[in-house]
Amino acid sequence: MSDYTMVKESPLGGAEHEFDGVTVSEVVDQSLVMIAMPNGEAENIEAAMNKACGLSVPAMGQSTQSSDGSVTLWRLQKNQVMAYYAYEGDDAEANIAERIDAPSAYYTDQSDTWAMIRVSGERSRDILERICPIDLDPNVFTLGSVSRTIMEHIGTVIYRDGDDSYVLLTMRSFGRSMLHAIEVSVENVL
Amino acid sequence: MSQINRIDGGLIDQTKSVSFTFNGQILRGYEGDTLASALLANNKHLVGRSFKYHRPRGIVTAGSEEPNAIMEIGHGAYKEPNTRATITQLYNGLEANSQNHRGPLGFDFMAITDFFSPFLSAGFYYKTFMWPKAFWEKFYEPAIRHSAGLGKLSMLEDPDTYDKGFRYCDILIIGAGASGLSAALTAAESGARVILADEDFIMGGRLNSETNEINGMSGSEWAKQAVAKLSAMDNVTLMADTTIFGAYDHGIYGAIENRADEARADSNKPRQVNWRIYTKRTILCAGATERAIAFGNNDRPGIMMASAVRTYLNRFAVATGQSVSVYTNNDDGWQTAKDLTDKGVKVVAVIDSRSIDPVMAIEGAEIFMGTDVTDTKGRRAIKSITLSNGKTINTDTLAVSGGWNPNLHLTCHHRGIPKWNEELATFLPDSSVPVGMSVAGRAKGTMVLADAIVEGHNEGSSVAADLGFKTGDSKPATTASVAYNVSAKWGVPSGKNRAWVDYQNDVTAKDIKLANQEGFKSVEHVKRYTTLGMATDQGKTANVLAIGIMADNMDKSIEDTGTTIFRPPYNPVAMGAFAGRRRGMEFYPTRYTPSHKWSAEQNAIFVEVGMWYRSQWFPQPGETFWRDSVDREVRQTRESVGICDVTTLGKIDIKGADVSEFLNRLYVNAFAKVPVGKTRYGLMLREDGIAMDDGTTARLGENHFVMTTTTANAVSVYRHMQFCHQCLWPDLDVHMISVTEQYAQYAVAGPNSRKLLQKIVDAEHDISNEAFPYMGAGEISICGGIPARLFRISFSGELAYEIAVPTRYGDSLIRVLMEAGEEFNAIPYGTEALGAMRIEKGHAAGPELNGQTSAYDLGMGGMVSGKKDFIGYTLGLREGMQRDDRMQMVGFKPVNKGALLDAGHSMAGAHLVNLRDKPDTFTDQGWISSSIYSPIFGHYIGLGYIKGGHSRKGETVRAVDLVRGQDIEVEICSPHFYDPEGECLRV
Repeated sequence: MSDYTMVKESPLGGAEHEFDGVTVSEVVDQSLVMIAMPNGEAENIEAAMNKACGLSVPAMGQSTQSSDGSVTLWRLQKNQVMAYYAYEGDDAEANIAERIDAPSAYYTDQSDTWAMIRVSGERSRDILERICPIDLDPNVFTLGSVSRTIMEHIGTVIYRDGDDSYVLLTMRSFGRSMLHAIEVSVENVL
Repeated sequence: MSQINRIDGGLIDQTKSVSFTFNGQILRGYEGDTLASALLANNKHLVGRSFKYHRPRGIVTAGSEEPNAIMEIGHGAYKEPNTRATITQLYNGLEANSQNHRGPLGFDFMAITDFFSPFLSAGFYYKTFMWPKAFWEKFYEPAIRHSAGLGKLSMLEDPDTYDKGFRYCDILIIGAGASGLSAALTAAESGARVILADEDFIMGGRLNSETNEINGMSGSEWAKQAVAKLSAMDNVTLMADTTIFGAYDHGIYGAIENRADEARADSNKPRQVNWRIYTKRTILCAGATERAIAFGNNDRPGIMMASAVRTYLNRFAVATGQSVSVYTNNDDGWQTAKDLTDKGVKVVAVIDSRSIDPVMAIEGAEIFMGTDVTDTKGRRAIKSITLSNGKTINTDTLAVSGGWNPNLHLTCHHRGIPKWNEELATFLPDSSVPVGMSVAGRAKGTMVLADAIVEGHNEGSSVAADLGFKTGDSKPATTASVAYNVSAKWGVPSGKNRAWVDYQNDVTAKDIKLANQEGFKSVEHVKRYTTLGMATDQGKTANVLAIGIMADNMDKSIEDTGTTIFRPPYNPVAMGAFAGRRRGMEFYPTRYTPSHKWSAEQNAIFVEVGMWYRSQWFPQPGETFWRDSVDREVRQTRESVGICDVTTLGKIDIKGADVSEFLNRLYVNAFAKVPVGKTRYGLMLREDGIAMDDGTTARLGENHFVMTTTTANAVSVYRHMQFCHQCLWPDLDVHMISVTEQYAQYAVAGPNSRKLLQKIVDAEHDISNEAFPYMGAGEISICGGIPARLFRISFSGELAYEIAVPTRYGDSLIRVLMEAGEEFNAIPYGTEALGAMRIEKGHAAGPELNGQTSAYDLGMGGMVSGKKDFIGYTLGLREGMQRDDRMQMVGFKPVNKGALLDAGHSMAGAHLVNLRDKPDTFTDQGWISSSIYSPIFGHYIGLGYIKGGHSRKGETVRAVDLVRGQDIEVEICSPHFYDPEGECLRV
């Protein structure tokens, strides 16, 4: 038994702020793992994950879900998908590898790379249009859409996880600046 | 009596009184007024002084084209100069002050310049202030700037806030007048996403200023109902008080939304929002601007645009005078006379330059056809006019209409050239409009309201249909068709009297003539020589008139005379709106390291490295000078153990069957045979053979490597690798992803580093020297199962490790390391000590990797593999890259060890010359790139470049710092000052 105990901490300390019409909260219960598909293995991997949990490889900028809804895949690059799923352990790579059961894929944990902030509520789009340069119209950026963009100079991934709910991912070190940017938008708009 | 010019009616709320001040005098207006309409209601015609001659000036227009009524609004830091009274919505407590006069507005001391006007003609400055040359900067320019000019800045930081935003639509409709509303109704009906923007705070355009009936109701009522209908539709965004100021590439438009009301109520709210609107198609329905006619003394307060007189009358319920005269060259001007008489305002005369029958009967007015106004009288307000037939008429308002110019500016933002139309005597948009834009209504030259409505209606549905939307079957609104006939009239011969063309910059018809006579034939040259159209109004009321006058002067057609180039912004935009919220700390984002919180608790001094905040040093009690702390951190690390957050270095996980081959092609040295569990230092070059970046790459598995890059190049190296993979060698099975932020990484350096780490590394992982030797790498666990990566690499030159844990444990790890290190007196060290130790060790870093150096220059020629191809190999073989007299990296130490100690600064930046040479660019031998005081050696040391340096070790040269006045002798030596054999690394 070690003499020392390590304590884990989320990028934004679990920040959560409620405003009239918008809630801004850190997403702390999700893991993210990059799944890279080796050359020539994409079909095998898709077949394997489909068999294991009903997942298919999403179209670019879109997402798919496993049959039980527990794992979401995002597609932002040609040869890789990102698994976004509820898990808080330190061994996310091993965990997803087991669930997906596609041993030829390469798994790289990205859970700690990103600060994830959810902006939700009926005014969420009014807040986001002050910082988000992509079109968030509900009929354009449909439920489950995912995109890479830049907000306030910060490389950001945005994922629509509900009718009026968006998850923004920024590199962890930028987390505070992104949270601030969202809060400034709230202050400016509401 | 207050508001003596106010009559009944209008689109203002006469039950809601608003108070404001003008030059300190308390006045009243109503909700719905503009500052200009409220001033006119209070009979304030004189509202400012002109730019050059300080002539008394009054309100001319009722829109954003206003040249004269520009004011300073607000006070203190909130004061904003050059604000157009005609588009400033009146609010309670508004403070307005007129500009550009010394002494009271009514008696401006500087008006004396008007008497010198014969000397102040076009090009006056260019001709007069040439001699003596030295006087320009010190005397002439300050004097001119002091006497001429517009409003004054507060010189305080703008306390208002601004924001930016992004909106998308299928169809952007610019202008919400009759044609814009008609277009919006049909476009919206189709289901297309529509944004309708208008610069006025009430939508409706001229309909709010006119008496036309549409669909059997007043035009303003029809507009109000159309707006209400549109605002109820989900697919429509209405943006009133919003100016589309520029048409940019790819259907992107810039828009400034004025939200001053909101900002006044809550100072945290943005005053303006700068929107970027992405469109698929755009319909420009920006209407038209009425132009003047240049006649003698046409700039007196009380001489206004005929359409403005109607706006004040119909929309704001203000009669601008009690005995009004109208001077026109078109039918529309007559409408002013009609509206005035209908409202019981006396019209004394209608003067029409055309020799035709009167357009209509105006009760009580004298009618003069084929007649012009040639002169006016009245110093602070117009009193009378003189006609070309010699007759003088007393009048207190002269309403002038020289015809209408379509607001086609945005159609020309992509260098479109408008086309002259003789029948309408104006320029019209031609086919060279920005891609995706179409034009409807008066902006297109469709001057008859009934036709403009139909055109907007049809354009809205046809654009929607083009985009694939199903259009509805609604019918366009109907109104009586009223003809617009015009006959061009630019200037009237005015003898000695000056006829103003550009009111704001005080440019007269004579100035234009003089410029033409002096050889300025191009419209662009005349513009710059006379300053015509260069004021804040950008000559909206002046330009076409000036072109007409130029054409007359030069006996050319207007088509041949041409227009100047139209550029954004359409209207002035506050600098703050371009900055948006990006001020101060929000100028760019800040990146925090995993140890930031803990470091702040230790009172660390932070330094910005790119966007990162890194700990620079950690002052201890009693340390008063930065070097006290840095020297201690170096010594203590070298004596025992120090810890430094190195998370900022780029980390790239690379996986795949071909990674070793990929790395082999990237790095100058061989990577194919790096065994699992080993790290190798690598240098990568650009294609041209110049060093790009260096770092270590560890092999954690057969198909798994992790590369480190410098902090500065983390992104560029990753981008370079993606380029190499995607474009050069797509067949290689390589997958990479940044894990810079996935792992918190700390350097643990010093003779006791292993002992410290052994306390936290889980027992099953043997990190003894034998089991985990120098350059070892592996995945381990610490503190009872926390996953970690350990690398035995050293930047400091000591026995050292870098340990990485998932960033969630980053804060915890620094605390655990410090706690476990207590018995060794472990200390944290910052970037200064890091730099000091790397210079002592002779490692090249940013200042050395300056984009000019090859591997050979860096002394790494021996590392370069001759057995394989890699990026930069071939071009690195060029003769010039291999010459012996290239600038080569070596070390430098002062001959006199005490040198610079008193000066308190290092040799960095000094240039190197031979002992007997005078330091100049011809004798320059090289430079010191990095230098620090070495607490280990007790003197300054440096790294740098000198010609042929590798073979000059032991030679003495001079390090000359002309900036700081230092000139010392230094010995060229090996860059490896500390432990050159690397024994410390391997213990």
